[in-house]
Amino acid sequence: MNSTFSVHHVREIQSTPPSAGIYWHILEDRASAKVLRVLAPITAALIAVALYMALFYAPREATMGDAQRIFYFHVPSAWIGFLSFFVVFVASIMYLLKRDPKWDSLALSAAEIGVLFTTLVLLTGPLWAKSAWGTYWVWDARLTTTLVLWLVYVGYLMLRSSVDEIKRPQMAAVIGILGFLDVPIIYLSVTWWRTMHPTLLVGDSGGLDGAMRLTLMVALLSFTLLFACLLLMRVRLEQKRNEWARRSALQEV
Amino acid sequence: MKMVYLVIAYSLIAGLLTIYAAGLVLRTRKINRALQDGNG
Repeated sequence: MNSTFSVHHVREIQSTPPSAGIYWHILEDRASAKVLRVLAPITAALIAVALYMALFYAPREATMGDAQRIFYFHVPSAWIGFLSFFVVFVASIMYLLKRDPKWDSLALSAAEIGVLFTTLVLLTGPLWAKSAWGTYWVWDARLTTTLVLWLVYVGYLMLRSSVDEIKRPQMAAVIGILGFLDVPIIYLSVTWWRTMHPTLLVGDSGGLDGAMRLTLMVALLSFTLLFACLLLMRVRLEQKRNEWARRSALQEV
Repeated sequence: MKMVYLVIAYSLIAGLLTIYAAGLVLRTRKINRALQDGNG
């Protein structure tokens, strides 16, 4: 079973005092189960509200028609992708500083979710582009840098399943940190280069209509809660895998 | 025609997220069983 826990962590874990921080307390199995029981129904309800608003509340865009409604879940998917990779970035730095496998578990969990949401961005974007630009893909700065980000973190996940388990967390942490450097480049690509990708205007100066803006905000909030649920579930799974690996390692010893 | 793109996009989002969440639940159940059976 592919786990972030290795035999070499056994001695390290046995000599490490349990983390007392509130953060890891939340990630403890029972605590996270309680949080999930509350958070999951709220998330499901909010996603239903966001879906209703995207389909019926937000006005139909004049030039793009219904295809513009893809935007209400395309932008939140991109936001969650960036947020996930930011978690990978922070957790990877913490792993290199503390050498605590819990940080490595968090980085792996967030990377998996980040790749999932970036995949959604790369699938829904071309569908919007086909109706707006008449083509599924152009080698535009924002599209290309997003594809690069996806490839980097797919590589990150592939590396984790192929590298020796002793070197795996360190190598993954380095890629997790370096890969995140692409995120600000993606964000600023629309100002650095002339691109076809639209710039999102949500300020008072113009851009989105009030109902469209509200719909986008609800969709962003619902996907942020979904991210929290998925991350909790994924970290719980990783903790259980580590426990299984720890028991196996102790039996071998 | 543009409605088709919207339906495909929303179906992809719902489908992939459901598959991933279901996969997480199934993987967690599998490891729970392994832990309870003492296979570790």
